[in-house]
Amino acid sequence: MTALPSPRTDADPHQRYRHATALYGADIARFAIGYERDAARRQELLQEIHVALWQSFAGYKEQCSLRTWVYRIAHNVSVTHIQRSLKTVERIHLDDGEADEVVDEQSAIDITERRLDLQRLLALIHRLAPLDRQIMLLYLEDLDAAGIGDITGISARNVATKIHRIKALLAKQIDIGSKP
Amino acid sequence: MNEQDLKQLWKSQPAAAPQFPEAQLRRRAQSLRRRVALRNCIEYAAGVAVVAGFAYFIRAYRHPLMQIGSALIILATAIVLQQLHRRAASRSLPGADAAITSRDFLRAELLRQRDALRAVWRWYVAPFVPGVVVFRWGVETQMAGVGPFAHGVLANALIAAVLLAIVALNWRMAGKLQKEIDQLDRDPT
Repeated sequence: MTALPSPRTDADPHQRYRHATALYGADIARFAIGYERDAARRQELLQEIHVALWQSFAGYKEQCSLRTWVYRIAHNVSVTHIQRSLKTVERIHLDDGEADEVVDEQSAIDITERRLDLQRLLALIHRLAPLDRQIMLLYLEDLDAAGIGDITGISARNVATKIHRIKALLAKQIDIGSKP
Repeated sequence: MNEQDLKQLWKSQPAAAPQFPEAQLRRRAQSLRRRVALRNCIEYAAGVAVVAGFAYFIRAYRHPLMQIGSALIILATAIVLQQLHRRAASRSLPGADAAITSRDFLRAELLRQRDALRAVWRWYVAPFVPGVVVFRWGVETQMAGVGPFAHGVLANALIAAVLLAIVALNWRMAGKLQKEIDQLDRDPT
């Protein structure tokens, strides 16, 4: 990621917003994909996240890192979005055995293996309970356990346990680790 | 596929990073506020319709029980509208308050929704019960089978069933939220 000069602490909120989206805009867009599969509703969610982010910078006094601030808002607005959804989807938790049986529906579709893997991954993500989903998305963004803990409020040790479960789940669903 | 391949796969998906101009964000924030205002207006309009309907009954049917029942239902409608206004006013658009840790945010949201659903019987259903009972009493005893109101045990049972169903449905949804809260509390932090 290209390092952009950080605005001064007394910079106006919109300048901070621009800076934050320049750095983390793509991450936010991927989070939205992880929370909403419908393209039109995803666009709505994305706008909601950006509005919340834009409004939030009036209260940002560097209580945490910029990334933590942006990620927390993106995830919290997304969680509100899925909670509001009328569809009552039975969510799975990483602790449940049922997580093993979720994704195996796309095999007949003639698409590339890479695309299929992404579809499987998204199908799995969309079935996870909100906090587990967040940990999985942050894991995929390559954050370490401490960084994930900072955003979620879960201790790094327990994040590490959950990541271990995520890996086990991915190994079963997407063949992770089976190929060099 | 190894772990890094998977993360690479996730990051390589086409995800445009939009930069919304300030004017658009302002418009969007206003549009979200307008949407909330419109929903409130629809609720108030429904309340006004109920008030108008029962005010008409007070004038049209000169039976004391039906008039008292109608007045009580109008009062109940006013209580419910006041509650809707209070509850809508306490919800604002997210901003800096959405920057707390995700676990705290999620738990607070679940608690808020659970409590709102559990309280439905108290602020949404219970205020109507006295008015409905007195009104139905008037219909059964003073209308002598005429007028546009259904009579008999079946009609009364149906009304009671609808009110009970509203309460039961909300309790059921509150129960589901409680399970999510329990699950969250079981997870070590």
